[in-house]
Amino acid sequence: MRAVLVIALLAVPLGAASVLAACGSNGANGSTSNDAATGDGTTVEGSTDDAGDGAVATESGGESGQDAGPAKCADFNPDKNVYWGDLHTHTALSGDAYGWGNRNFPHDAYRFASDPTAKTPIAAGAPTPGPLVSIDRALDWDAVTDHSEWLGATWGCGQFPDGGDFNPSSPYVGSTQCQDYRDSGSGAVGPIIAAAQQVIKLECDGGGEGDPSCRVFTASAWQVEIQAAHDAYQRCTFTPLVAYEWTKAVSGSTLHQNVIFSSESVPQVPLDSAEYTTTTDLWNGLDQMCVADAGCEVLTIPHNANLSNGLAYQIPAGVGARDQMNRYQRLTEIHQHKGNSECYAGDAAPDPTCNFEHVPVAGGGSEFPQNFVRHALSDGIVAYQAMRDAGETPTDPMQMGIVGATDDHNGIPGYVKEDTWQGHVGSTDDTPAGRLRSWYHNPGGITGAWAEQNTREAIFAALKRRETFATSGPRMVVRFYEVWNTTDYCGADGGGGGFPANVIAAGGVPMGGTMAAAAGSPRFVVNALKDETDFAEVDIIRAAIVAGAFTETVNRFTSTSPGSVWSGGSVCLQWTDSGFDATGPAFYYVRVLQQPTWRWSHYDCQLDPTAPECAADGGVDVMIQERAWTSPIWWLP
Amino acid sequence: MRLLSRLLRDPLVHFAVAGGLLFALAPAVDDSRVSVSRGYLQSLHAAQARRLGVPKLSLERAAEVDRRALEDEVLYREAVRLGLDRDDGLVREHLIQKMLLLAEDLGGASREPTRDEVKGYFERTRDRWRDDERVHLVHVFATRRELAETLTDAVHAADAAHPDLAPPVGEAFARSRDVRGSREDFAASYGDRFADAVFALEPGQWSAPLESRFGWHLVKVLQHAAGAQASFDEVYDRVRLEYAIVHRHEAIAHFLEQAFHRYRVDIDGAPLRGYEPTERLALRTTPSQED
Repeated sequence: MRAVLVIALLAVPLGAASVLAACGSNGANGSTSNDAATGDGTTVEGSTDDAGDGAVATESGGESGQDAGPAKCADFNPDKNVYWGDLHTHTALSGDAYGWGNRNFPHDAYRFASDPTAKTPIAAGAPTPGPLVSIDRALDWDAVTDHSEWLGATWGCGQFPDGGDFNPSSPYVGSTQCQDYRDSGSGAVGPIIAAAQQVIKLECDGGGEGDPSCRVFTASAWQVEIQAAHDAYQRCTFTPLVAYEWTKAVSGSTLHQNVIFSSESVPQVPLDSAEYTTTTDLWNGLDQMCVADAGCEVLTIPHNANLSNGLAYQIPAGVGARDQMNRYQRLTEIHQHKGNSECYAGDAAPDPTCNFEHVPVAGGGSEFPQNFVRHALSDGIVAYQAMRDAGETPTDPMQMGIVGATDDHNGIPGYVKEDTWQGHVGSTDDTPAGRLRSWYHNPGGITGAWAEQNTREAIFAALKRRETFATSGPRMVVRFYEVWNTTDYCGADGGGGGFPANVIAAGGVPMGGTMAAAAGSPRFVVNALKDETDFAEVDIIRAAIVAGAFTETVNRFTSTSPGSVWSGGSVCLQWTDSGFDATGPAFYYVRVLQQPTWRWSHYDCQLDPTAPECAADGGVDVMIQERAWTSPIWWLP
Repeated sequence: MRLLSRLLRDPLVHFAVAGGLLFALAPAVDDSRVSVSRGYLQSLHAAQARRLGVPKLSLERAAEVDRRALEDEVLYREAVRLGLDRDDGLVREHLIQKMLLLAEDLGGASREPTRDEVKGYFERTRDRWRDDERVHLVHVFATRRELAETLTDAVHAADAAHPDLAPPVGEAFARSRDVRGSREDFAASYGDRFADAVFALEPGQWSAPLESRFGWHLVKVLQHAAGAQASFDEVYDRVRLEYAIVHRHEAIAHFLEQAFHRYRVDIDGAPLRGYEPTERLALRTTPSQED
């Protein structure tokens, strides 16, 4: 429908009635879209290839966000299927990625994700280009999240490896600023961004980002992003989500958020960290510019809390601010290239299993406990209890579901296998030696979303209700429910009705949900199917305020645990929290661990055995236990 | 006199005189007039109401739309008067796109193709329109073979009542027990051996226990569709869309070839030789099921 409007708006000023015939309507501003959408549909797909039609995009907000058609997909499942996706991908339109040689556009990234036969280059623009790669199994959905900052720079200056301009109409492509920007690649991000800033000054008439005169350039690049997500959408098969990354950093602390939209009805430009300098500013801006009545819904997802110096998960003061945080920050990224953020693994860590793909603290020393998801979730219920104690209407401001992603800067989402990983920052690490220098990075993770079918509406709804789990790469499938009964859902007759229909019919609350009124002790059902490697352990992590005091426990289950049904490929277990205290808030989440397998660095050490990082003791030629983490289930009395 | 009569018969003179008369009679162009029609404003109201999801704009909102529309007209006129449209990258892009749209239209690409044209294209590209061999099955799951065998009676009892549904028996299984897919789909999720086994099953019969990478399954294939050449009717929508795109490519290429003849193009003085049109469209168009 958006595309139809774009045509109508372009065609009206042209004044050529014959062009309008393409729409089968008279092109009256905006009022034609219904006719055209149900009409022939032949020539109305898509929007501009290389046009600066940002102004037009704002006129196209009529998309309702409703399902395109009432027809259910063939695999529609009321009990939900798992759909795999990556919520964090950068393309050549990210200022830093371009510098590292990335020349893949958003539509290339979506094609890579959806088509295992597509061959996609890494760092095609680097002096020594990287290899061609293909995904082994298609993703079901993906969000390209280019940095909102510097967005106009690569669009205005970028060139393809053959010398062609990204945007042949750019007035600046030959400027010295663009030349400098193009020459600043292949190294540290600082000089790349500094050069991009000079380009932006040029585009913005001397001003910086956030200057209103810049918006047309940003809007034009943003239009390319929206267009790619539009073109790549195949209802029931592949769902691209319009998104960007709000790239806020404070003195080296990563406070970035991915901003994920429900539809193609989005603000005219992404709200960037130059103009919207705090998360509260960002959310206030989105309150204004992304209105549900106009078909726009949005989630913001923090990532790399592990690198935030304890700042990522601060709870704002005031009821309004906490409610706003609860509305927007419904998910958090637990795993990606630049490390894992599940739980503290520093000095005197209570849970040794947390020590998985942690990035060492720069300059040494112990890591910040506040950097981690489990700590943030715990802070949430503590704040919730404090609000109750103060007689306020309580909200859990940290009620966040769990997602995993890559943060790939090569435009190749979901490329997470240990044995084929080619790095994540272009020419910097597309060789074994390059990767081993950053031995503490990893191939990143993906997200499983439980949805009825693979449409934009159903996938976004799953994200919004937090019915998601993250993995460190493998596609193990995890279901997690809470019930208030003692039925045996793992047994051979499954309690009648078949699993999971029986659990759901009994009022089972899925991952991401909040338990209904208490009736005794809550019972949890976990069912997991392996990917390629057998399971080693399933943990149910519980944090609660019991008798007024915070407590955290890790309940571990293995093949020998009583009550679990455990085969090579499938695990089902049930656990009752007999220490449940209905008077205080709590949350529970599941962590599933595979048997050990080789880490990516093992394969690189085979290719480059003399690399110093591969030394026999203390080296990185090691095995890891890949894993999955579910969104929590909360008890919020 | 003779000259005058000759002049009076000359069509060129007729043309010049008629033109002069028209010029004299036409009202002088008034640069200061900004005129907007009520109908245009109403169409803006309708568009804004639809964006806001309301049936009708309030009077205040409608008035604001009107004021903005008039401001837009004045701003636009001022911008043109000051020449801001010249040498502007965005305006240039916009004009290029309009030209491409017009080129598509002039080449007939905006016309709905006839069924025969689409059919002709289908015949020329026949190899590409094939359906994968696919299986639709229901199954029950058990972690061990012996357990799967004990489910047989319950499966047949459930099957008698609901032959198309996955029987509500067996152990917990996190994925769907009603599955459709190609052999590759099954191999990716369940393993190669299982994929081969289910593609060899007789539809409508419950199988003996089959092993997958997860455990053991009793399987009934509901439907096994052979991979085959798709019929024209089955793929008509896709073929029509693709044909339309190809047609648009051709229209633009044709226009560009003609247009290049009207110019002498050089790069730093070196004349261009052997112009080949690129594959471009006014609007990027790849098949999408969204609209």
